[in-house]
Amino acid sequence: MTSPPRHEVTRLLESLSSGERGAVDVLFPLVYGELRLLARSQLSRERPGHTLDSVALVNEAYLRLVDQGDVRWENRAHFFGVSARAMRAILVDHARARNAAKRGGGGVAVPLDDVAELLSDEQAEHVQQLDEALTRLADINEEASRTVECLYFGGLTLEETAEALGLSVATVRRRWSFAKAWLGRALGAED
Amino acid sequence: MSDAGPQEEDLHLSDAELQRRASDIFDSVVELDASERVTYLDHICRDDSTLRREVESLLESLDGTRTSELFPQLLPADAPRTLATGERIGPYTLAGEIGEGGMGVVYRALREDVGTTVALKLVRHGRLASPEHLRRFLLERRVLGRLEHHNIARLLDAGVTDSGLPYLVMEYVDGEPIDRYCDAHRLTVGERLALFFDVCEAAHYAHRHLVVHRDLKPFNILVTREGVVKLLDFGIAALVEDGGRSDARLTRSGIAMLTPEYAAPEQVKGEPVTTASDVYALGLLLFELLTGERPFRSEHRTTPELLRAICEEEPRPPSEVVRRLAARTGNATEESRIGAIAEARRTSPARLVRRLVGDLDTIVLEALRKEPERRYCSAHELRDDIGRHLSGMPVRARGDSLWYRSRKFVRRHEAVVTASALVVLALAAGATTTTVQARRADAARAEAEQRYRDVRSLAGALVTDVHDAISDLPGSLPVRAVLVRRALDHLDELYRQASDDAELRREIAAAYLELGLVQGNPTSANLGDLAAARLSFERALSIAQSLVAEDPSDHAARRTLALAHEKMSDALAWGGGVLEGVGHARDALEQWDYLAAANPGSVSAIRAVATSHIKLGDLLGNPNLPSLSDAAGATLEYREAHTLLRAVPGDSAKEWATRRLLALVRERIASMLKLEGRYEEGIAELEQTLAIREGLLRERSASANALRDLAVTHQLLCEARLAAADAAGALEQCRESVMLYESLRAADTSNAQSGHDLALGRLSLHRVLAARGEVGGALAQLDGSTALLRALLSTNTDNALARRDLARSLLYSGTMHARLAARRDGEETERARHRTSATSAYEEAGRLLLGASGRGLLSGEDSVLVSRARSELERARPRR
Repeated sequence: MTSPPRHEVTRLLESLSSGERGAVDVLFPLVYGELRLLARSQLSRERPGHTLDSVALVNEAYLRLVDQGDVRWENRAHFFGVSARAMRAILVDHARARNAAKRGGGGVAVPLDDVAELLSDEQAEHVQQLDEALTRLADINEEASRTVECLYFGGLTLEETAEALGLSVATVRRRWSFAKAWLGRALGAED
Repeated sequence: MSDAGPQEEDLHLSDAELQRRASDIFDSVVELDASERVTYLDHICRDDSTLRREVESLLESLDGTRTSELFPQLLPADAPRTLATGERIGPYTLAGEIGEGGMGVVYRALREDVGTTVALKLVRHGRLASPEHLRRFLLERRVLGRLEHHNIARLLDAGVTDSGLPYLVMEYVDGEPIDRYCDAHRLTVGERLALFFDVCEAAHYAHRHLVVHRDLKPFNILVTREGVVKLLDFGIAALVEDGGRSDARLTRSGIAMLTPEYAAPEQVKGEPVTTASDVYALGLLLFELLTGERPFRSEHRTTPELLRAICEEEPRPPSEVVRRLAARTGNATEESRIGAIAEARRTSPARLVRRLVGDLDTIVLEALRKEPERRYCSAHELRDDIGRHLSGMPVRARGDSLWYRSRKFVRRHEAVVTASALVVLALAAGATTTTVQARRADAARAEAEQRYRDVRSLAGALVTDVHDAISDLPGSLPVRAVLVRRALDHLDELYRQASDDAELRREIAAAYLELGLVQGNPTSANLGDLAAARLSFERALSIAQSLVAEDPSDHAARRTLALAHEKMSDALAWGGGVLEGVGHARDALEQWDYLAAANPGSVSAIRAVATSHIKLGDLLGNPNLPSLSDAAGATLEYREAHTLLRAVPGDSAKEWATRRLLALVRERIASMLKLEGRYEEGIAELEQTLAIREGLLRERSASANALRDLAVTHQLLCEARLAAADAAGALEQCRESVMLYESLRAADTSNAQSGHDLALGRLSLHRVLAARGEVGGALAQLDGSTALLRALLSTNTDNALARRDLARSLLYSGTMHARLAARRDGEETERARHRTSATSAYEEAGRLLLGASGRGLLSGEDSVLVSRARSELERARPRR
């Protein structure tokens, strides 16, 4: 799989900022694919036991996919937002596959081989629970759920998260508090 | 929570709704302290105990939840990846983490063999992409390493870890950020100003050495226990970005890595970052040290809002900010805040306001001007004004217009000091400035002479070493663009003062030529700006002309003159002025002939004459290039070149350059043979050409030029075989050439020529496919070439050839669509679609060709195309 031309992604980001909804649907798989690829190469490059550096991954994907000569600040933020969602999807897909494999159930949707050793068994379990809780949280407070996505899965900073979600830093901080409170209760009860 | 009535308890909120309401309330109370929370909840939840319990349970959960448990360290989301104490990087042993900056983690480290403690910064996002990056990273490190000032933490070393991460080693400073230091020690305004004075001094020292900080903020300015200011990370932002990231970053100011809050307007806008940006940052720092506030407070602003404010909003005077804070009584938090601010300065709010009004307000605002050229023109001037204020003298910023004017005069000459991306160039530019100034002072004559020599050698390094080192590497154009911008500033300045020195003028002319080539030489990798290129060529030409007029025996100048004519000729021809181009080509030939006669036995002189004949021939009648369609004239020139090259003696004939030229001549002769309908002879010539070029590529496999030559040959063979009615042979050649063009394009997407080449390759491939009846495939190739040419024209509207080729591509598309529309077996809706496409392609092509014909670029083939497309369109119309 080769990367799409940079200006293509840049154009999609522009349509995103002009409010074209379909752009996310086109952009997401591109970013997902690229991040997956990068994750694989990052893991093979690093020493064993190293964790995935999502900050570096997202930055690298950005440099590879986006024509930076043209991209405006806001569009960069959109890219980070989409990347965070893609990182979540990658990790959750992986966690599901791993959990399914562990339980010996058939019908594994995502092959393990290509992003091998991303998560330990324990982490895979946790990620899947977290993901399910986040989906429920989105129904209560969508911004809080997205904040976790950006800060935790996407490895974005508070400022970048604020940009990606179009919120102020202060608001992001409050959403993060709420998410922590809510998730802490939800996951604590399940354990 | 639109219509929350008093009976909401009865409404029986669903669980989700309850939680949503709780989330809103949580939002309002989470930042309050315990007693305020109770008051607020009493008020808002009144008698809805379920809702209140829900909010309280969340608040409890927040207190009891540890982030690290909820979000385990599978990704370093909250904290960056850390290395363990005791790990080794190069000769350093890590001794603990100091902190985290924008670029990565900083460790305290020991170098045991020397017994020193250092600060080691591991750059998080920077992975060195290529040996070229590494080379530049190390080069710039050396320049930064030369900064020696007791208020600047020295860069001691830099390197790359085993896994490819760049790291920097700096003097270890045990201190506190300046803002915290000032508050912790309760420094008065006067004491703060004294510290700030040293900060300016240090910044100015670095600027004098042509290093810009680009990310000055309290975090990077430490004060030691002894009260000594130490600036960290000078020039590091530039070093890291340029060393570690993609080339695209070079052309921007790299805002991605900066703290938006501390960015100057020009950094936000992506304009060049100069010493003035640091002056702005110093203004921000002063603002903060004086008031405890930042001019564009960001906590409640989104980043885009903040960025807009930085660019548009005028900052309030510091005194005003303090006054407003003090006036906001009735709010306990605000009151204690202004109290603390005044307290930390050992004064009262009212006295602080009085202290700031006047001088200090003026100084701060002067440093914070939106336009870089209206700020203090150096950190030194800012420092001086602080000094004047402290000693009770009138400050200059409040000054008179005469001073303002003279300052602007000085600024004009300092405009070249825009050190950031490439320190080599910054050095060159800066040395110029110093020269201009130093030369004016008689007392400093000796130093001036030395500087002058420096400038000369830097100019040489600029255009030869640096440029040549990267010119043939795919992907080097963005770097070269930066080189060009810097170099132009530099040269213009140099040119202005070089009226009496022939050698320097020769170097300047040569440098203008080199610049023009990078800007828009149509026959090799270039940035696609023909107009700018022509200007540079014109300057080179006029300097060289005057040099030759002064001294006809000046061969070096004559050589430059010949080259300048040649380049002018190319630039004119490709911009549509073929006839003028021919004039310059003849002038060039005359100069080369003179030089060859003056240097008998010089093979390179013979090659130059041969090349000149080829170039003239091209303009006269090369069917593949803009020309006067004088086939006989062209053939004559090519044959002349061929004769000259065949006469080159044995050993020299084996030289790479000679063989490359011979291949070129044979290729040209083949084109003329094809034009005369002598296909088989033409194909034979091309086969010979191919053999020579394959040999050349084998010897220099990294040469993009050699690869392109091969691609061109395959393309020409394709065209020749097609003309000889060998469609199968043509297809094979064509696929080969398109594949090669694609790989060249992929290696260097910003290269205008590789885009044009690929487009032409696709046009050829379309022809072959169409000849084989594969209309769909042909159309796909045309869509590709149309897109490529459109992209080319969008960056360079001046490129006549691209315009003509776009018209051709559209015309062929029209023809293909018309053919599909005429198919009897097609569905009517499909046919209608093709008719529409054919019409619009035809119309656009018509408009483009009309423009091209006015500039003599339309061949007979094009006219035939127009009429053929028109008739096919006619045929495609539905019959009644």
